[in-house]
Amino acid sequence: MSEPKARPRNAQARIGKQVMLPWSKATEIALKSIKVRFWRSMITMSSIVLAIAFLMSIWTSTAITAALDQGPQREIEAIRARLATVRDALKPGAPPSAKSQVEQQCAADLSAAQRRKETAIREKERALKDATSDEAKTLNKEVGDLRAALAPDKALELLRDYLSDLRKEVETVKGKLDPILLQERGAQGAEVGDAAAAKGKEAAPRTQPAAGGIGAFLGYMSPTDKWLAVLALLVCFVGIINAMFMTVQERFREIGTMKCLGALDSFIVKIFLIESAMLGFIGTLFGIVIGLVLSAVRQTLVYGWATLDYFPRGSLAVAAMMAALVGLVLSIVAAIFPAHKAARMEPVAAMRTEE
Amino acid sequence: MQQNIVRTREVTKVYTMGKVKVEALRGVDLEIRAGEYISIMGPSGSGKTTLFNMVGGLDKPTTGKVYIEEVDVAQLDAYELAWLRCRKIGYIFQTFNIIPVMTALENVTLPMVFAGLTTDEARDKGVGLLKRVGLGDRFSHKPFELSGGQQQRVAIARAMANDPSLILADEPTGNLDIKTGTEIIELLKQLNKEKGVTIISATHDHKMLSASDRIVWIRDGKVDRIEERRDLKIEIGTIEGEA
Repeated sequence: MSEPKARPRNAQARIGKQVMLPWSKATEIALKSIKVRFWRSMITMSSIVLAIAFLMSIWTSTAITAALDQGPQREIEAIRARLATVRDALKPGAPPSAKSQVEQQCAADLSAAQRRKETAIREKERALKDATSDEAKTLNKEVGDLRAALAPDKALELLRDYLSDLRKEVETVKGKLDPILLQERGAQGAEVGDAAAAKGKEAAPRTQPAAGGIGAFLGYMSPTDKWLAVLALLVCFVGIINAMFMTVQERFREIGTMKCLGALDSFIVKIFLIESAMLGFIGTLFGIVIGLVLSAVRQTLVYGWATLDYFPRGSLAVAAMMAALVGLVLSIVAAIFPAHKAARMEPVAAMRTEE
Repeated sequence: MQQNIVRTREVTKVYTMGKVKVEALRGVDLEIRAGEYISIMGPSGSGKTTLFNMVGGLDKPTTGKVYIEEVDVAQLDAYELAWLRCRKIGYIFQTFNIIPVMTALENVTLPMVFAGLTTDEARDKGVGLLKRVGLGDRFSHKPFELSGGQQQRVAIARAMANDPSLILADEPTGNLDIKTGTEIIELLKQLNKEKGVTIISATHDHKMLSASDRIVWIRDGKVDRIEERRDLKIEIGTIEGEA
């Protein structure tokens, strides 16, 4: 045979190439297949929900712990830095430029302090109306003091008051920090915590925190956590592959029939990939919510309401997106092998009868 | 001279199961004219199903050639085969094979979607076909809501979806009772006459004999004989030519 691919020209014109690859139809069939096997689909999906919930709960715990470690500390440091700047400017030997610089920088703080004193004056003057004669005496003195403090050359005095306000803030934040530190020391038990506590320092976190806030939660994962997360995802992966193979096996007639109707291999692959992606997407969403809520509740129970003050929204948004990506990729990749097995099924399979 | 819609030339098919070679077909020459109603009959293991798969574009011969509308099936790639199955050939199965997750209308219009029809065109045509097979009021029913005979009618409507030139029916009455089976055969015969579509059926059912123009008897992988309907002598109780 000189030209094995040669074909009589009139016949060639008669045979076309099948090109209709309707995504909408594949999605429709995938959706209906899920509905028809609803409870089985839910069971397959539950493995994704659990694995992603586990992953998300680890990330949430570590994100919150990181935020509690770093949040209050950073606040304190920022306040201290401002304290230091102002204190230096107020020192006797300080250059006038430093003073004016501070005055400029603290202009906003100054006006805030001023406003507060003015508000206080107004409140006291209002209180004077209903005051008894003794109370009136005290109030008048206070108003006098406040008015004096507002005098132009008393600007720096105002600032000093503001500084004491800042110092009080530091104490408040430290107060929030104490129960957290107490917890950590307790959690670490005989480990590093005791040694650090003995030195009088704050307890160190379990692993070194990564630089930067948003990605910190990844750095905080202990090796055990990492291993457990990988394991959970692997089990889920294998579970999906298994379930999909069974489904493909069961649906041999459906697949064979569709091929007899003109469906291309790629169409069959699409149906199964879309099915798995749909289940994966919804399962991942559920998993993220469950993992996040469970972990947040647990952390709040352990560390108190400070958890909500320092709630790491940015980190958790990133974690949620990463978990979503992991879940989606996992469910699609797991479906690839079974989907291709389905696609390679011969149309003749549609005719098989169990005899 | 009528055109040959299917033509085979010295077709053989050998299956290798491990170390054992099974010769399912051992040289079959067949010519099926357009518009014919032909039945392939034979006992199990005779190669009937294998021959059926050959002429239906579902399998390729080991040696020899199969021509569907004068096109060598072995030369077609996956896309062309899919096109062939979509536009030129309709399939009917013993187990009906209606897709369970879709309604009757959706089943019938699925091949139309593959052929590129718009949703409206497909819907109109689908409803028309379902009416023709007698299921005009059941197009939104799902397969589990239909009896065996009704499911087979849906299958027939689906097979006719893209106006094929050839319909392949694999034991169409295998899972039906006598009365329903007769109705189905009657329907197929009507379609054969109305639309001129060639019907090739592989069957054990002797009810098919009176509807067929020709009967091809297969035995041991070779054509035993081909009988024209007018040559058949049908006696009460026995039928000539049964293997």
